[in-house]
Amino acid sequence: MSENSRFLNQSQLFSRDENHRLKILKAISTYDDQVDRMKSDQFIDWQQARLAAAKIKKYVLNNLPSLLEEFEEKISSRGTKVLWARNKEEAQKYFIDIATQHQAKKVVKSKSMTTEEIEFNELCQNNGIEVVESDLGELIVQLANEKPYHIVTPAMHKSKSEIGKLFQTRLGAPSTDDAELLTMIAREHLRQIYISSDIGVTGANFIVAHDGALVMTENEGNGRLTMSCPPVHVAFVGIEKVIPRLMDLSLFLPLLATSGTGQQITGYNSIIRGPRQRGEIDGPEEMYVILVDNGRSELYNKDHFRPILSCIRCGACLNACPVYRTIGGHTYHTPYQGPIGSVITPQFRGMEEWSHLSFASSLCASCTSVCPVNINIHELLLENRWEAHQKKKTDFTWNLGLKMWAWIMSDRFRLNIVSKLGRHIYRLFMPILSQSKRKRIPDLPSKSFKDMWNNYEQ
Amino acid sequence: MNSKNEILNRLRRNDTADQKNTIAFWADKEIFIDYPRRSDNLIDMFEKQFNKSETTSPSWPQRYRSFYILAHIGAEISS
Repeated sequence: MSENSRFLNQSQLFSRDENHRLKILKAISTYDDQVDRMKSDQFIDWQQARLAAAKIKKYVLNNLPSLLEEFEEKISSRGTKVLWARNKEEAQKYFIDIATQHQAKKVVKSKSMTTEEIEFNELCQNNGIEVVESDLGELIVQLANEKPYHIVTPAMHKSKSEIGKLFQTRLGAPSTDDAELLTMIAREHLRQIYISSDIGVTGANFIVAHDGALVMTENEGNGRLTMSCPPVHVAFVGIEKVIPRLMDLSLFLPLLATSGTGQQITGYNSIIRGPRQRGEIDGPEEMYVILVDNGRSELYNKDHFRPILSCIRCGACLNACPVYRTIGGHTYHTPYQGPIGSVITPQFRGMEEWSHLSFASSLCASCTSVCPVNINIHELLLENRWEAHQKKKTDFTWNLGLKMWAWIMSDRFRLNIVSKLGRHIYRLFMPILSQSKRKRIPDLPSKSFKDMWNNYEQ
Repeated sequence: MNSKNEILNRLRRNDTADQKNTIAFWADKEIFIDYPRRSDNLIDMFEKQFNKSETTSPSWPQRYRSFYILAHIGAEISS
């Protein structure tokens, strides 16, 4: 089945599933309330903060090569090995080489979208390495043999009772749907894994060029334990994650926390500048940073698309999107869902299979209005559509329909005829259309807008 | 050619040496009017901002306690 057909089938299934929609709407409405409160509580001028963040990110993108080199130089000076991966395969190869060198059999991993992108868990499974997710949401979807549902809240689609049952069957835990008890079960399960793992794998929310540091934000403390307990730390980072200076975090951390989870600031914010130094008692003995390109540099060279590399993966556009709210995250079948996923997936994975995602949008621009770094997401969806059209990756019927529409709309006489004809056809099919239980079909007014306008002028 | 050079070359393909590329974002007085200069000491900067938000017209972000602590941590690491 093609990705397009799969997407359409899943969309129908999920949009009709009322239980699923209720769970998502409940989760997102709680998020909406918190975000609105935090925007006004924490920022005097939210729009000004967005503009400032966009400005910093624009500077980063305009100077990306030199900032990346500076980051490498600074972090290497404290003993971290920096590896550059052109694509998914190269990133995977680097990791397998590291795992082989350290004879790693068990890996603990915190939440990271870049590892989802390079299919890290599948890589470990295929190479006989056990990988355990340490983020609670990620652990839940891993135990359920599912993919993350949302880039910030991977188990958003699971209710507490579903998680309780999952823990009961997969971890042998007592039956409960109490959130605190469920967290304690996961905590007990994970504590030994941190200590017994050979490698800790993380992502990074930001990398700081001038200071050569990796920044991780999280709410469970699992990222910090994942990074510091095992003897080796490997971080997979997209090359666009750069910010220039440590002090830029004073803007980006609250911006990310507010847009991502409606918090003032996340519970744990770690700034990592290298492996354990002489005289220090904590931290990994070795540290690797794998800078992943995987299509980003191609995107960088397309002027229109360059701003999408400013994305800080807060997930605000997913929560705002009426399409995502209706069809859910798994329907997209990609690591990045929602509007941001619909822009970057066809670019990363090719228009051939994935151009349909660019059409999964009403172009209402909610995504653009909530983006904390002011990315024009809805316009980029249109750019994608244009590119798909240019590459002849759009449907024949779609193209024909658009051509007809353009032909009709470009001439007043044609438009009048079609409008009149359309009104008659609509009335003819009205009794059949009204049978639909899902949607009420409105009656046609007795006069068209044009007739009313003519009367008004007279 | 190794991977690093290849990635950097790809990123530099459209580099036009535009002056805009070299102007630091903190030079934009309109947006960064309340934003610290590059040379500001990290702790001084956060102290200044922290006090400013309580006395004179506040800038963003309004609440600085977390960032103040963060700045201390950052400064400690940097030292």
